Amino acid sequence: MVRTHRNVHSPVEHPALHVDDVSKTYGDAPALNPISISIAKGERVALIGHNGSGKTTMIRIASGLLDATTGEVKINGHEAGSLPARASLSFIADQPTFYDDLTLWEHLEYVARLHGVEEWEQSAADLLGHLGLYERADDMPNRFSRGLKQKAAIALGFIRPFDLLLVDEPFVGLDAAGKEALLELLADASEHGSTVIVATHELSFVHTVERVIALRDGRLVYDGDTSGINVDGLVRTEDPAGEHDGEQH
Amino acid sequence: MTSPSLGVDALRAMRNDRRRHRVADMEWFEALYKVYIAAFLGGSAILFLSGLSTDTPLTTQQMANLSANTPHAVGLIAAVVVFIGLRSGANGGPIAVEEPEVRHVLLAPLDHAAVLRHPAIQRLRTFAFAGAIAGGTANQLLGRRVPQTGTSLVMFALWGALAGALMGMLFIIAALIVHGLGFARWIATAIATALTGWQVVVTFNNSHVAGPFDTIGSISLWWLRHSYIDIVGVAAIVILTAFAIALAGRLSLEALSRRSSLVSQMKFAVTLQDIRTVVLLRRQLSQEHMRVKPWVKIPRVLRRDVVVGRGFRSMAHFPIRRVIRMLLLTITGAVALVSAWRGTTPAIVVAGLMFFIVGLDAVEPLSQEVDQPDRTDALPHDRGLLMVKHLLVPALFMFPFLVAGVVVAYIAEPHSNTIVYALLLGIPALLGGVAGAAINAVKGAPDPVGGANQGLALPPEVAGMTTMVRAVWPPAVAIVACAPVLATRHGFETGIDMLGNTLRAIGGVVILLILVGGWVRQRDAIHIWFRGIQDASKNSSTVGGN
Repeated sequence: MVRTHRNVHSPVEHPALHVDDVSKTYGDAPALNPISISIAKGERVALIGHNGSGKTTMIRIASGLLDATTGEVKINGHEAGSLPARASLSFIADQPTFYDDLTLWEHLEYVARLHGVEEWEQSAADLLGHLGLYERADDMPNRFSRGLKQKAAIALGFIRPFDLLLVDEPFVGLDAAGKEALLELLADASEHGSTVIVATHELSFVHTVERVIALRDGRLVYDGDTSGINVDGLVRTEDPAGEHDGEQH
Repeated sequence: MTSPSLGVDALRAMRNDRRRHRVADMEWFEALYKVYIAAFLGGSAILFLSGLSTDTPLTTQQMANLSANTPHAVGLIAAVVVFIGLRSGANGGPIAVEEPEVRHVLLAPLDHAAVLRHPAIQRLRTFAFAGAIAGGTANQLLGRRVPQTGTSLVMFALWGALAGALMGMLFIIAALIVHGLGFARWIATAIATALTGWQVVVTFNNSHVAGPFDTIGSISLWWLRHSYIDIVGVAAIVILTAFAIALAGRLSLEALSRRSSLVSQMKFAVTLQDIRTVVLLRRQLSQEHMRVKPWVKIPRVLRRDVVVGRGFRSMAHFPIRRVIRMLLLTITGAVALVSAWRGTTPAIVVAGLMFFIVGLDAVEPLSQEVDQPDRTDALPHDRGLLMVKHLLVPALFMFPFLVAGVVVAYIAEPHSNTIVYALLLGIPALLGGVAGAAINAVKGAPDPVGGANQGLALPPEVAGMTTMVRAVWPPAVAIVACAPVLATRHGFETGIDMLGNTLRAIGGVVILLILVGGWVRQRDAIHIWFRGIQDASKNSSTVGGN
């Protein structure tokens, strides 16, 4: 699979993602209580938690789309949302959005070139082929079904170079082949040294990670490997008992 | 292989391509039709306004007042514009880019200033143009009343357009600076209040001290006299413009992301004349949330009727911002009614619109009910009765605002009679606002027969007119409810039965309000009856045809 890497490494080794005492409130309502996390380069992390636990807020703050109420977030040593941070981070949101007037192929060209990728055609063709979208390259992604939109968003997330990949609920709406393709892309990204953080309930992914971070009601309730907790129980977030608090690092 | 220089080039190339796509896809006939409609409506509005403002030349005294007060008065309008701009900036305005632009372009490693400068300038241009049209129109209307000075109407329009354009620019400049510098909402409000307060004081005290926005008003008077110090003001605005545009790169991604989807939804709602959706989206844009903890616990006696109790509970959760906005709108409406009493007849339109907007907030319980038709349909109650009951609490909720309006009227016209007449005129005016808002809310409710106009096969012109009438009549009811002030003025001017004139006009408004209440109560029955007539007519024509 052809994939480009930013490979921007500063002389000092910074964590891929460093979250220091970050919180977020909407009006009076807290969405995220102060949280501190550090994720090293090349780590493969699953971010899990109940609905409303703060996963999306956390990921959006890291991507630069949301401003933290307190604390700071650094991507490879750069402030989240800053130009170098944006250069090294790829974010695939849970709600894909596309231009009304561009085809999928034009989207891929646009995003690739916005990120300074000159030779993008082969990568784009490979990605579309891998995701089963090659035949739809000249269609408008805004008119796709939910699953196809998700695949198109994944293609856009992977067409550009990155060191850190943030993905929010990427498996929602995907068929079995799509899930398989995405798992392969995520594994490929890890193999190439990228840090991968995925907010998901998908067990097939959670079982493959080295580290699980669990949030509940905006609080960090677990940060460790999959062996230390009952991952299945934790992932079954609809379980009202919710007695899965693990040790905190 | 990557190249950092590609990013901005790609952005420019894609923007050019998209512009070309839009031009290529444009339906020229449709575009020309839109221009025709805009010109028709704009021309009609100007003619209407020209008709309202008489051509009677101003007296020497009036000319002296005009010369002395215009800088302050027009400056006050500019102050209000800046107030709104500062608040808009604190709420994440004034720019709204497409959602994909936020996700794909603003998250790309491009300088945000390079991306956002263009939409900021576009927005500035649009507001300057709109301001120029408004200012030019207003000044040329004024020019018709100014005695022969040898100044052509073109010069009136020119200086008015310049003042209006500067006003429009100030809105965007204020919003960009507050947003770009990341001022907290309370700081923006404090600055806005201080500037507006200053301008209000110099305006109403006929002060010789200059207000912060007197320059704008003074420029609109350049057909009369040239005050070269105004050039300093214009230069300051130009410098502020450059500063504001330079801050475009510092706009918050979170605010842009939030606004991107809401603004496109709002534009769509506006095209559908869906005022309720516009209200809801505007609240989301300004992050106006209901209070979690109610102001007061509603006593059991007020909750005996479940619908009335629900209404009181809704009011108890109103955020302070909404209450203050309603108060300010009421005060503006009251000032407009005082202006109408003093001779400016068109001011009742302003008053009616203000009270209509107050009403839109007040009828929140009713609107919430209409927003959830499934729940209403599932209730074992007559929907009309339910909706009428929902009008009771908003009507009572108007009382404190009535008091505020009376106080304003008394300050403007400090006579003992003022209190009596302000109460007499204020009650129907505020209830008219509630009635107009109630019509607006209820017409959004589902039709029990699936669209009473269905099957009428109306020609497009008639259908367009019907849509316009549907959009216009709710605020029209609010405006008509303000009309009794004209009867009072007529009674005062002729010296014949001022109280009788007032009461007769109020009686007319009361009948109108009762009719509105009856329509809310019987709307479903009216639609069913109407559909029955249609069906009967269809059947008889089918039989006739056979």
